[in-house]
Amino acid sequence: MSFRDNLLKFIREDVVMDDNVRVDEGVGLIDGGVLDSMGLMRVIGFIEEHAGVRIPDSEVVPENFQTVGSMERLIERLKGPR
Amino acid sequence: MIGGADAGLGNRGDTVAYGLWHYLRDSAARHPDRAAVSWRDTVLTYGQLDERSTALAEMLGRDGIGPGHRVGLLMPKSHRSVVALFGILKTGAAYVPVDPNAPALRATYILRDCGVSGLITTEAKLRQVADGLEDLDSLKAVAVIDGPADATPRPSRPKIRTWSETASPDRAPAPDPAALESDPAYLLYTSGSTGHPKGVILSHRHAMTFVEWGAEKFGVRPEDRLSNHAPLHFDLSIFDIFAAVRCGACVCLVPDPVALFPMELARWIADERISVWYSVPSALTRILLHGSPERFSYERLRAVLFAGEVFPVKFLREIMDRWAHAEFYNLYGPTETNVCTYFRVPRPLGDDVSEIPIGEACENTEVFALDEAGRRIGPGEEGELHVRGPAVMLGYWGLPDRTRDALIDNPLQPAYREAIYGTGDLVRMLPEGSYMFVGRKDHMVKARGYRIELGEIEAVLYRDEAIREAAVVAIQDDEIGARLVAVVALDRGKARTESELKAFCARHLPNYMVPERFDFQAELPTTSTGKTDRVTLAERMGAGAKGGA
Repeated sequence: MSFRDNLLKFIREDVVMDDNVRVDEGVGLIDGGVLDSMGLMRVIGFIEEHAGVRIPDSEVVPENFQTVGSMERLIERLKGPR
Repeated sequence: MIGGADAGLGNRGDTVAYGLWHYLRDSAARHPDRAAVSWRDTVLTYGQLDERSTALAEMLGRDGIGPGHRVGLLMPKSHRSVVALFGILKTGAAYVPVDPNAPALRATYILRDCGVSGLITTEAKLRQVADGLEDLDSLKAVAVIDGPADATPRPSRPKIRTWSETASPDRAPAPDPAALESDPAYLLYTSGSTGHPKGVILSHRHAMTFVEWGAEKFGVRPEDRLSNHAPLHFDLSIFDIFAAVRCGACVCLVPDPVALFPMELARWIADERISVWYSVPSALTRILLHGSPERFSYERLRAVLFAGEVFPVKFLREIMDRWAHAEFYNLYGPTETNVCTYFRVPRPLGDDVSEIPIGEACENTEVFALDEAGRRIGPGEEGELHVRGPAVMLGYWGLPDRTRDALIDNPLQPAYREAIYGTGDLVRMLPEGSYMFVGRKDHMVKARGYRIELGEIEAVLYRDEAIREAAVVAIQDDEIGARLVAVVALDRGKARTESELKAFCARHLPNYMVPERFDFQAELPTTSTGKTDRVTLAERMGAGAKGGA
């Protein structure tokens, strides 16, 4: 599974834990009210553990966590040019 | 204080009744153009809040909702929530705020348990609970705030109305509902050790006892801007909304996405020019540790109130240094009494201070602690804190036995019978007569200010047929209060994974009650009397948590 699939699975199964709530690439996780503060902390923990980056406080802002796509872009940016 | 020279006349003969709705009526009459509620880019004036809530009350009234009824509130927080809350109160009914993030099973349990007559909700939330409300006979009306969508399955019998925000301009002031200040104003559901949440019934008088005290103690004025960080199903919101409306001040609702991000929240408090902040300590800790509050100026912030859990002193000291011109107060009280003691944190907070007292009783309330023999304790001694006075709840909804256990006869008053509330919190009396929180008598813990009965989580786990034994322990955590670990022993031949058990819990419990970790063991350790040995379990899993306050 790709990192994106793993992240979606984690958000679905360990954070949201509710089959009635749609979680996919197009869903606004923040504006849609999918993530609460505890959920956000878990997602940050998952990314730091599995993507090998540390997310500084200044990057914990809504636009970086709106979708899994924006989280991936954040990770790429934090990893820097290779 | 309550009532007084300008108190309204209730509709029950010549009885003088003064309810929470009068706060709005009076402030709307005094300054209709002043801001009452601010949420994102929307500001409602007192005139608008009064008109719109009256329109909603009339709509609910036409469907037969009035005194003696309960109306559920199931929607994300916005300025409309405040309209809804006053609309319900103006009918004389009590409002029942339900966590909009709660799983559908829990939300429907609450709405059914107290037999709501009405429900104010959104299309999305109605879709989640519609099936569970289908055969709820008490339900007369459902008001949907965001318009009709025919595809939504709806409970078939009650009238579904779309709540139009437009109020007619020539509206007459709402008549006083035929309710008394001793009638229920709201029900707050908290974690219950038997596996279901329990509804704490609170009257207008109860709320006003606290609101009047707080408005005076913190000198709330029309120029103030009060934060509302707590959700409406959490009793911290009572101060934010009703103290603001009582004093003609503005209550600024923290938008949900802002509350998630410490950097945004730190900016929001400055941008909104908040003057009185009230939240659980963990929200302040997150701002301090992850919000870079040094970027902003908080010159308007004059009072910081915190309640709901123990504030680690190292973080309190740091945020007091950061907000050097604000006064800090530790407020204490369970949902059953709301705030009943307070402590003004001294400046400077010396390096030798390692814990913060819960302080002394609010001026219109009495507290004392009793030892195991029922004797009132003195300085240096420990006992269970008890509360007497008008702040004490009416009881638990539909649970007479639990109510009798919680509201005991005052043993210090042999001459007359009076119900007082035993908090279950153990305290130590300090030399000057105030109190320090020590721990809990039972298995209740706090995480992010939320009350969590470990027994409720265990009761849910036992509903899974594969589980033979289950115990949930709380691991102390400075930043959020407690982290939950479930230790389970499965029946022979049965298999469950951690994610299956998490998903099972999440169907019945709000996210903050779902254990973060599951530990599988062949059997749980027991004490010599055969009970689960929680001390050993907590040691195995990490350090135990201190619980409430």
